[in-house]
Amino acid sequence: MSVVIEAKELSKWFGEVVAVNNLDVTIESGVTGLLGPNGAGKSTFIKLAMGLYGPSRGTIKVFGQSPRNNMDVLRRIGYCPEFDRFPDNTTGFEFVYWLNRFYGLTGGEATRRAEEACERVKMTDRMDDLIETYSRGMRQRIKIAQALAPAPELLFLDEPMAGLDPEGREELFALIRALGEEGRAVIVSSHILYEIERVTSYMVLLHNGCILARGKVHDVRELMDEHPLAVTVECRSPRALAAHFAGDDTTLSIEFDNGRVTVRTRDPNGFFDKLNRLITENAAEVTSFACADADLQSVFQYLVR
Amino acid sequence: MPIYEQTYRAYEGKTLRGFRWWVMVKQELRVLFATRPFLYLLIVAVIHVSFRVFQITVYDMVSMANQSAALMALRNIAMMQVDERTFFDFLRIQSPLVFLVTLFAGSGMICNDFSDNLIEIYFSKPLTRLDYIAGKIVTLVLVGAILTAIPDILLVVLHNLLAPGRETLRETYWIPFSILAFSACIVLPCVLGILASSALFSSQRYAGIAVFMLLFGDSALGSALPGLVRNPNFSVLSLPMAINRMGETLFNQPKKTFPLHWGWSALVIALVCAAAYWALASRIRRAERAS
Repeated sequence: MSVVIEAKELSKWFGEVVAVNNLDVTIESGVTGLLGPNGAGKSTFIKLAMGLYGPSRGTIKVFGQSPRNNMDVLRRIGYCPEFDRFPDNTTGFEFVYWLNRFYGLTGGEATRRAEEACERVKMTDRMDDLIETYSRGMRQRIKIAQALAPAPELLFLDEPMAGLDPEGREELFALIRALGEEGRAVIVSSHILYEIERVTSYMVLLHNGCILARGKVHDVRELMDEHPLAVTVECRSPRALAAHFAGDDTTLSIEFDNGRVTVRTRDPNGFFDKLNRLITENAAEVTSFACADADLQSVFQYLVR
Repeated sequence: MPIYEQTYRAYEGKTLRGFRWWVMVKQELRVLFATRPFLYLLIVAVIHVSFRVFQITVYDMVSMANQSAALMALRNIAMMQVDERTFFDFLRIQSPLVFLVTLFAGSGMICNDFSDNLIEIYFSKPLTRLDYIAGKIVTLVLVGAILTAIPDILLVVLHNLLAPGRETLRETYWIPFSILAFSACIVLPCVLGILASSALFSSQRYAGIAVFMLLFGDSALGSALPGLVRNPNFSVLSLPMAINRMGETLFNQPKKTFPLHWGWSALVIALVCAAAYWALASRIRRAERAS
């Protein structure tokens, strides 16, 4: 494994706000999860690594070079931002195509790669439609397509799962894992541990701009095993749904509240696998679900206790 | 199990190192020409060009037919006469349209990129800040040229084609250079001012209003000040007057605007361009923001 990103005593502040604080981290090829709650410094770290921001202190090197205004580095990077806005009067294909052209690809090559990227994110059918007609999940896919299209060696995906439906998430998990297996370096940021766990075994845990934990997800997970995850599910028959989880040893408690059921579990992976299955089978007519403590704040409170 | 190369691999695409801004120009032009109001404004410009084509055609046909009586009659109608003043007037009359079209096309060009966070996505690509600025400027300059220099030079060519001969050539060979210079005087301050405003304001509407108010205020100042201090030379502080003065010089026209040397007008135009470029470039350089 080769070192792709190397940060030493890296800090970035905006006025009095310290976004990244004295980070020492090396990231190698393969998939790396960047985990932390909102405001942890994930996006700032990504922007520092792309040279969009200059460090306030310390250094960051990508492929052994400073990324700031470095076209040789930027040529090897793909970036899927977390924002969800696009230019008007532009189709998905055009968006991917024109951004491809900035990499110096010829018209024909940019077209071929844009089509391939749209195919890879399963947007071929809709790529010639205007982006304003897309659903949030489709817009997310087209953002990922523009990052994939130039076949970058290093890919930054900032909250890529936001807005995707369960099926889309599963497809994206598979895509990210495949990119890592191809030998690319993929950095995925999220504030949901479960999402990171699905794509990589290595993660960097950020909190208030500092590294809180780093290493195998499993190791971090063990630290958190005693910390239960609360998931609130809204469905037509909450009692029927609860019955599926009531017998599990890992279920700590089940609460009902006005058509909703909140399950506290010590095994989020097992819980979500089972919930996905139930949704697919339409066993409990689930309309929505959310992690009650998905922002990791409670996890951090536990970790820093 | 496949074994993958884990070291850095060479970039596969062909590189356009010096011309990345050109990609931005093509992208922006594509978006503009797909916008209906922009096309309507261009159609308005075509009406004026059509009139000038008619004027030159009639004048040249009459002069080539040696119909001296008709020619004399035409020369008495200032509007139908063809000389350097024709090409100067064409640009002068086009200048408000240039302002409107570039204001429409350019006022949202940068602020929308900021509000849509596209600036972030652009600079995550191998695109320098200079490429970005150059792309935006060249796009609007091309739009300006479509309305000014290109049709006016084509009118000179038409004049030479309809009235071929050394006499016409001797009278008009210098006009394309004057057209280019005067077009630059009209288009550049307009483009840079509008882009600077677009970079400084958060919305297209505010950017447009700011440019409009600035131009209005400047024109009012340029009109009022000479009367107040009883010196017509203070009109040079009005950008439209300074531009007009440059046109008079470039096309050998009598000094109707103000008698001050044209160098002062050139200085005012250059200062406006420099200030606008500085505001634009420094805003783009300061594109870092806390997210």
